[in-house]
Amino acid sequence: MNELQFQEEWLSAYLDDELTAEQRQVVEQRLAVDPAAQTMLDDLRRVRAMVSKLPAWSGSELKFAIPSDLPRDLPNSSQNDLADEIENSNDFEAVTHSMRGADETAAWKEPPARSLVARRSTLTWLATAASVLLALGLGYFYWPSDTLEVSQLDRTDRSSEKSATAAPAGQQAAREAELEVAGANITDSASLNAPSLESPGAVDDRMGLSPSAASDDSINSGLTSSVPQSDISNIESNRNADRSEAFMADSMADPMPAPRTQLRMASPPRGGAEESAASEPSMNLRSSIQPDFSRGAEASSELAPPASAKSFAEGTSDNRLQNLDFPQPPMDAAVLKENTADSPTAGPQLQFARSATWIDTRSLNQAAAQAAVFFGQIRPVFDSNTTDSQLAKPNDGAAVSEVLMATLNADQRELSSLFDSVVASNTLLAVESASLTERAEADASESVSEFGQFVTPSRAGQSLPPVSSLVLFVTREEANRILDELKQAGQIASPVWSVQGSVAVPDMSSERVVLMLNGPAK
Amino acid sequence: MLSDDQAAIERVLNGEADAYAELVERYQRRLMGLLVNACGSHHEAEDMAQETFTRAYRKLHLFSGQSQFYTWLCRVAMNLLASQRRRKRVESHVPREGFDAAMDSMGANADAEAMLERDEARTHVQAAVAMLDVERRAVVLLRDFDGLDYDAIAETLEIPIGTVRSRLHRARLELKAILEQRIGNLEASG
Repeated sequence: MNELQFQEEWLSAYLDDELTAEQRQVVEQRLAVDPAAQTMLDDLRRVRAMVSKLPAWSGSELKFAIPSDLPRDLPNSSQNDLADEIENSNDFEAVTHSMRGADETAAWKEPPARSLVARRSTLTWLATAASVLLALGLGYFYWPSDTLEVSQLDRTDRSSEKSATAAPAGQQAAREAELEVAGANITDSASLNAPSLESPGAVDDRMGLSPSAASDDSINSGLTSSVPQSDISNIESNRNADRSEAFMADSMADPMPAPRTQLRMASPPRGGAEESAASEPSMNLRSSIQPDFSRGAEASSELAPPASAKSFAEGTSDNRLQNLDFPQPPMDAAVLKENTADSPTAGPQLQFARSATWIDTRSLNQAAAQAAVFFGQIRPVFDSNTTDSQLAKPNDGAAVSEVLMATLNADQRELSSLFDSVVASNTLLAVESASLTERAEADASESVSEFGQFVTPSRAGQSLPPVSSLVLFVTREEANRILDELKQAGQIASPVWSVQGSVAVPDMSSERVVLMLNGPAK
Repeated sequence: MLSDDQAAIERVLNGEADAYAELVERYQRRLMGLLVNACGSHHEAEDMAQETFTRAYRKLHLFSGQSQFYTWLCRVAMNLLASQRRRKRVESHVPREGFDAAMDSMGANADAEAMLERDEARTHVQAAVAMLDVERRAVVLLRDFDGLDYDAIAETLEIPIGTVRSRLHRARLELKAILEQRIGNLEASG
């Protein structure tokens, strides 16, 4: 016979007389021996009483009126079905999920979880674009220099150590070569526009463009005028331009001696980012990029569809790209022109377009958008006692300082296994499930965000629906460890995006990063 | 035998639009009470109540009669509340910062000033409720303010009853923590 285990939440239900007889008995037994439970019950009772005493509506004039000519929707029309589904559903995502069928003809199919933003309605895109703008706008000028120290992620040592034992050297090297990703080597607009920097050729080198692409007139013309020269120095100083900044593709592998052109910093620091890049291994894998947050989602729709890595690699001058086996869109000069020539804000867009010569810009867009959303909306449930009032106090306590994103080869079952192991190791995380309906039915967690469900360690062991994306709030070390393990298992199918930001979370004892692991595209 | 609600609904569906006024009259105050505390602003609550009644009217044929009309009305209202929250997210991503943000969310200055003149403890409770995440706010108000049972809340919010139970418990704990931060020991205050 199964003996019922006391659950804390039964205290509220006990108060409301919403328990079965057996559950009530368990609670009463617990109350008899546990003063803390009794205290909590008393507190809950007081809170309930206080809420119940909130004033009822006492306004004298209520003027709700339904116009006599207001049409009622006709039943059984297809249009109504959709509207009704939305209106009568509390699960926004479930509705949008059901609407997603229409998108299946699109040439570009996003991974189910990676497209958290993309698969929502136009309104949500606008919402995301707005949040991206706000997040960037704030972060652009107010991020403390600490948060811009983005190149501290150093998995190198650990990777080296592990590779010595975990896999044959040749196999490991080959795998790492496959994973080696050239960072998008784009700089902030001030640097690009600064006439004193270097020759156009040097700028082109920093872009990582092939000479032919880099010589395109439209590109060069786009470099000229968007930022008044008088503002450049201010922008640079505001952004700590000598630091590696904001947004970059990060390789999982041990650093290779990368071509010099890739290693140049956006604004060659007085005192030496180049030196730093050359001497500090982790810097080799990093470069700075200022994504085009001003365009966000719209930009991605304009970009070329993904092509095979092979075709992309053939179009580049960088040998490091030859071994890539994840989708990369070819971004030729024509596309660059389209993205830069006629734009009133050519500077940032140019940067963005140029980044496309290196990386999958859809992923870039979405990574940026998702990260901005995370930074704007992170509401982790650390435990049941954590309150909103304890969250989001700027400059107070530790911070979530970075979002790392990767797409995995793992199928949903494997992702679910990973989820279980991570939860078991007491990591706090969010999970985006494939079936939101199932997710709701699983009743495994409490939604605090429409972008995912946050799960506490105490939920470990409960059944969950298939998992299509994991969002982990982990220490940097733990993120590195997880990524290393995944890399060694050959599970990582994409570059690891890294987006910097800062969300203060006072309850955390140490700085965390968000590690988002997406399931593969099917 | 049809309930009063069902009878009025039948009449509306049969073309007697004026019969809807009975339903509005019957539930407007109750709904307004819920929405004022859920929105924190009288003006916002009025707008939302108007929208709720209007949408309910337009979708009245979808009301199956298996639940209480008020429960169904609440569902429409809570969906509107959630939609409004999403819109607000778009408009502003500035994180909430304690009481100030809570007071901001309580509505226009006039509302806040009027509120501050009222009973202090009640103001704190309202502010604390406003600080809850909208899902928790909805469940705690539906239960503790409006008196719906768990089944009705589950139906209103379209969530499993287990979620109602856990969400309500967490909402109360969060309220307790906020209130203790604001007004000290609840035992003394209560």
